[in-house]
Amino acid sequence: MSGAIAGGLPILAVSAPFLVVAVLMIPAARSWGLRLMPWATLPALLVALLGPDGASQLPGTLLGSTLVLGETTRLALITTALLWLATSLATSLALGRARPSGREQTRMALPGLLAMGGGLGLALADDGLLWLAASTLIGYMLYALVMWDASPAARLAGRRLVVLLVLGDLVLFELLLILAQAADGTSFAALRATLATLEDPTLVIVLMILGLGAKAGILGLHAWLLPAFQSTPPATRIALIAFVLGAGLLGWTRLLPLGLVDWPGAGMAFGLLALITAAYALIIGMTSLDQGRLQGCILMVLTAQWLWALMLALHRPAQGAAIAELLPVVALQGSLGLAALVLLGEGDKSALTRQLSSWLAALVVAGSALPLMTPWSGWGEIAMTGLWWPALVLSPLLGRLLVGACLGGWSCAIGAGPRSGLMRRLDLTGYWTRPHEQARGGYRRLRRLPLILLPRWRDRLKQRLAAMGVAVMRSKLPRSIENHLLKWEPALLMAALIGLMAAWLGYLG
Amino acid sequence: MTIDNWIPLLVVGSSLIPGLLIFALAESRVRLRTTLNLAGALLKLALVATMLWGVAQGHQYQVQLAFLPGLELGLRVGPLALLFLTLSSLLWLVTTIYAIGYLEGSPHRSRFFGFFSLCVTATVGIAMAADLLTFLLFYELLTLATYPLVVHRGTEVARRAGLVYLAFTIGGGALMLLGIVWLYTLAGSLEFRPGGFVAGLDQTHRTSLILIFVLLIAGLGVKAALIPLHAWLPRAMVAPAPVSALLHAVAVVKAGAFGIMRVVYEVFGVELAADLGVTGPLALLAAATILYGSARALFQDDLKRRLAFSTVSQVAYIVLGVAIASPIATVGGLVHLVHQGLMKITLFFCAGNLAETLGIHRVSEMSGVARRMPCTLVAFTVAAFGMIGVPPVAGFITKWYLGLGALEAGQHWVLLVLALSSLLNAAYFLPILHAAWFREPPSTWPEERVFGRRETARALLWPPLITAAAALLAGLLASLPFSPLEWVGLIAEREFVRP
Amino acid sequence: MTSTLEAALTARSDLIAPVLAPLVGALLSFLLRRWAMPIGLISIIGLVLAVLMLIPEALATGPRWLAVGGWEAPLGIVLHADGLSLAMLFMTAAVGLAISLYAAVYFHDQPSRAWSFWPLWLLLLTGLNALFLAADIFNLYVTLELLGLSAAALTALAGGADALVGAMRYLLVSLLGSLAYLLGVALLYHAYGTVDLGLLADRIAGLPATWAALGLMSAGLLLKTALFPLHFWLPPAHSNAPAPVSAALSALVVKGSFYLWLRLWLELFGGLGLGVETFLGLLGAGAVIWGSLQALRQTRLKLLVAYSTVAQIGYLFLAFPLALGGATTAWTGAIYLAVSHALAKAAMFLAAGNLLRFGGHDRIADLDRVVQRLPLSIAAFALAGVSIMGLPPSGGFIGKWLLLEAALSQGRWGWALVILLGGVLAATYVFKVLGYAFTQSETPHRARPVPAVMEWAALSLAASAILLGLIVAPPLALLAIGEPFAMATGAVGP
Repeated sequence: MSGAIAGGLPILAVSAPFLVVAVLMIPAARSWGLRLMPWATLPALLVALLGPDGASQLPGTLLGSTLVLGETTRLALITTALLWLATSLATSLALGRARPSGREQTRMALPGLLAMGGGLGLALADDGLLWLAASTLIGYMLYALVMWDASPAARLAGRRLVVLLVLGDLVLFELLLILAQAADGTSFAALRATLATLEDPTLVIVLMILGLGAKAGILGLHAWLLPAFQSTPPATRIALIAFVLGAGLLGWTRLLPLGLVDWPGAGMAFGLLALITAAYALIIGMTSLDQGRLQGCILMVLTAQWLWALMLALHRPAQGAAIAELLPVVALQGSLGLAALVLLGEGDKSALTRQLSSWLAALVVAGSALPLMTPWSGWGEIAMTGLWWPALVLSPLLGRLLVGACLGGWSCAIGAGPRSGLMRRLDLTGYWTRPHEQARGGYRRLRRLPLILLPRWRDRLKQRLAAMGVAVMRSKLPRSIENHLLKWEPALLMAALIGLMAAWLGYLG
Repeated sequence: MTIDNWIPLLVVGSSLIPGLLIFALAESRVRLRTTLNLAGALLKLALVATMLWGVAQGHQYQVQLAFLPGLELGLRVGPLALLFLTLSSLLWLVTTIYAIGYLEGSPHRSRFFGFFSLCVTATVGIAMAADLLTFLLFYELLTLATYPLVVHRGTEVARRAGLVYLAFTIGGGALMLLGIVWLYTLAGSLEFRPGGFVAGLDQTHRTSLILIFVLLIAGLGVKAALIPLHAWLPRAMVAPAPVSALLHAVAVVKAGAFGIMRVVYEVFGVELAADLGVTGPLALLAAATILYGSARALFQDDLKRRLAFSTVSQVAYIVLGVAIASPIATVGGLVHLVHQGLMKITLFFCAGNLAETLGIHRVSEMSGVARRMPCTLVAFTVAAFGMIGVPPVAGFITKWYLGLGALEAGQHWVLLVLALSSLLNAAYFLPILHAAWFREPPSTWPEERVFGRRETARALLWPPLITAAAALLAGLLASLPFSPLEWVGLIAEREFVRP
Repeated sequence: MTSTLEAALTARSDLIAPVLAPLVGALLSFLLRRWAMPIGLISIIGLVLAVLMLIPEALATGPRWLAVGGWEAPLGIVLHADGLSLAMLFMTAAVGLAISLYAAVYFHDQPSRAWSFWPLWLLLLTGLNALFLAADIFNLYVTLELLGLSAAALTALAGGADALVGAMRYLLVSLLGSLAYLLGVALLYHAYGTVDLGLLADRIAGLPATWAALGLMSAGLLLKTALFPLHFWLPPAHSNAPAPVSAALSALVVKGSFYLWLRLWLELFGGLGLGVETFLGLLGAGAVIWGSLQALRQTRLKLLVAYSTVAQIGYLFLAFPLALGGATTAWTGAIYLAVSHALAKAAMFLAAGNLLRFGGHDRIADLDRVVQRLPLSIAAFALAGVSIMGLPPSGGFIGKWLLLEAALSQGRWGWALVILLGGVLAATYVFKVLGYAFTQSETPHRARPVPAVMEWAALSLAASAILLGLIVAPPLALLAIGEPFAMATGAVGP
């Protein structure tokens, strides 16, 4: 009996969004459906947090699929569910604000819900086909979400996304086909086992990089990512993070038999990709004028970090298993952190929404801090070699984003305000490169920081922090340092990266 | 004769008799005509369901009628026949409902529905034919019954399209007749048999057998629209939408593909065919058709023409699956018979809805049409994704099995063809979806008809939704019992894997 | 009164009844003009019954002989009925019945023509039936002459210059053909001293006289059969006659002379190894292709149908080379084709007559206005077309199948291709007409109504041509009575 319940729980988790979709399709129940929409991911979250381990066989589905709630998928599910919870809350807030007609609301809610279902499926799927199906579902629904805002940037992003989706899915299809033919099955365990026995993994690795890379935004296949981040509202951006994570990054850990194989060549490829992706993201991020783009760049760095970890695992099979266990934690931490930043970037006029988003942000930040602690102890050498440089790359970007957000004012509503004005307000580079013209307005806006509605003590804390920031900013020294830094920043970082890479290659031998 | 003998005859009769009665009805007897149509369709469906159950239990239904000396006309219902039979009887019901809605108020409906029923009669006959002669009989009947449907509009363009259609199909029929008679003089039998009935012929007939194969495939390839015999299909698009749906999804092209399957597996036997060296060229031809059809579809602005070229491409998947000559690829080909039917019929229903409701015939007019007709476009989208091969819609299962089979048979080039074709499919379907969902709608539609609060008439809306759901479920629940895939597995087990 | 007379006759000797019934009818209808139509119909029904009664008995007991008046061969008139004859009789009866019903309505408002039609038509049937039953070459001549004369007279019935010219030409051709045949008969009688087919068959040898007789008889008969290139007279004659007459000419009369030629070939000349089979076959192939192409060129419906007859006759002659290999399949196929062609072609002409009557013209390109108002007629035309094209299921298909089987089992590709090509060409010209059945007509048309009987007569003929393709075993069994084709088969060397 308990086994049946445990088996049923994953199905419940995945099917909740689809049930809400079904409710929305009934005209009479549409308002109910809209009310249910923000909570469609709650069952998944509850199942992930409280449910026992279990596998649900879906015997009729595709070629016999399974949903598994286990050690690795649980973390993935938590991450996905939290991200989607944030997305759906933000979406329903936006809907509540814009108050479109019922039919329009349905039209806006449906792709989001379907994408959510796809995302949850991605997290729990235990076989290649269901996983691929979920990945295409979320991909095309995100395409719809991106295209929602019919601005030229969104169109560009949508077009690029859909082209890369088609290509990526095609490559993944061929990859799975080749693996499944050798493995005589499509479960991830069988696929990994087959991969582990491969003599020459070149073709598989190339297909994997192309197929998953298109979704993860590896340099060269990233064309959709930055315009998409630039042109979409925060809710969609969080969904994009979930997509990159679920359909791209986690795919590697699903397919690669980490710890069982010693593929230095493939590792080298991953490492190189990681470096150039990070470098690119850094350059673009530092020169970017747009907060959304900056967030996209941070996401690309997360991808690079992921690739770097994969490289390590492929180089050192002994630590592969540990890394494989660790990666979902990294995913949780990185994605939730970024999502929190995205949410914090969104200001809102109404008290209720401000309250909500603030709570959410706080929750997300808290959630992102927790796992940061847990793995540290057992990490040792990996932490040394694997995380420090991506963190180095991340930190200027993150810092910049945060400071920019502070300066730009938390209150700016990204989805609502006129974009040109918004751009100007977020024009951090402009602020830094032309300090004399921009400074005064920037400081003035800085005072609006407390407008974000937090409980009083936090407000005070924030005010104190803001005051400190202002004080620091006002002194001459940091400004001149920054002025100088800014000129040389990309070049310096580039040089640092190249040097590091060279050193590391030398270290490897 | 026991009841088991009667059922196949009843299945033929359940559309033949209503068809003949409908011819005799006056144009104004709408209610009676609709009743006859639907009663026939439902009866046929019930009979087919009975047989599905029976065949799953290992039963076989057959009936033999004396014909020429030494030759009998036979109907036999095994798993393979039932696959096609179920598809056609199900889709006939749906298409009938759609056609009733589509043609409401237009002239010559008695004639239309009469031939419509005859067309389905021929199709079920083709499905159940137990030998090549019976097959040929129904195959030609199909040609004749479809012609009036193709020219139903009665315009000069339609007449010319009809002539082109006939030129191809009658020519193909003649080639097939030649092949069949020749085969009969060599083998002395025409009865389909698992493993083929010519397998026992001695080696001296090799050349003859190769030529016979070419003749038969040429005759069948006309209907299956293999290049270069496909030219009639895009022209036949002048027909009303239900006819196009029927032509593309159920009757004509499927009859050709089904026949090719019969010829390869139950006339020659796949070993002999491979031994004769004819499957390789057939696979190449199918691959060329797949790519060529897709490439041509890319440049069509007329929606139905684009879909027609898409059919050219998609039906060749079935042939490809047969020609790869590995059991798994065959499963892929066979199951595509059903899958393509479900998806393509949906697409044509949707195209018909757009034409009927808004007067839209061209892809370039479809901007923003999803705001006006969301449900139709949802169905269209599902089917289009299926065509591209996006999981979990049915087309994905097909491609998966074709790919697996090709790998199993060591024919790696097929993977490239599949990938390229998917790419092309995406290239001609996604822009349509993009325009329909995300572009701004124009201020007025070419010829709008308003149906109250609904986006279009009920009889036009439900059929595509049902078939789209079926296409989705056929892929998503592919391993449920009685799903197309499972049934095809049964066929492969019972008919093809025999020693 | 007539029916009792007929009943009496059939009771005495049923084999002669198919000849007597129309003969008596012809005489009576000539005498009692006012009652011509009922008399005609009654005698046709009598004829049908007589034929129907012959068949079961023949199936049971085999071929039959009857010496009329008790005089045996070689002096008296001997009738002989085997499978071939019976099939032809049956064909005549069936087609004759439909044509008669049609004509009864067709000539209803033209009493003067009806008076001429019925005696001539019944006389024509008499000639035909006698031809099919006669067992000596002189009687065959007599029947042939009877047939030719009545047919020529019927052709002229339509009136008008075209019809008269056509009829005149037909008459001359017919007389010329008969004359040639008669000369052949004389030569044979001179050489072998008998006109009885059976005796002649025993005695015949490859003498010069035989050669000369063969040449004359074949020239005459082939001319009357309108085998390419001697077909020039047929299209004008057949297309200008009134519809029932056209049907009778195309369906039945040419079959009469073909039957005669086939009979002579099977009994007399086939066994001699003269080597003309291929020549005949080539003429047949020429007819198939030339006739079809000509049909395709026509702009008038009745001419198209008439040229189609030229093409279809060609098929019958393809059997000659194909039968060389020893299989009776080719002959069976040819006869099957002949019978189904009779049914189908009669249906086509009757349907064309309906269209002509309704629309006042038979220009193919303007037919759409007519066709849509006469669905039954166009259905008849279409079904008959199916048989002419040789698509299954139809009698034409069975015939072609058998011919093809004969050709392919001997590996004779050329003939097979001609058979197929003819089918495709036939489809082309049939659909050239049918294509207009579905186009929309703009202007309504001042029309002359067509009675239902005329439509149903055409349709039932066409339907029986189709049925002949579904019910195959009984006709084949009928044809096999007495093994009419065995002689040629057995006599031919390797």
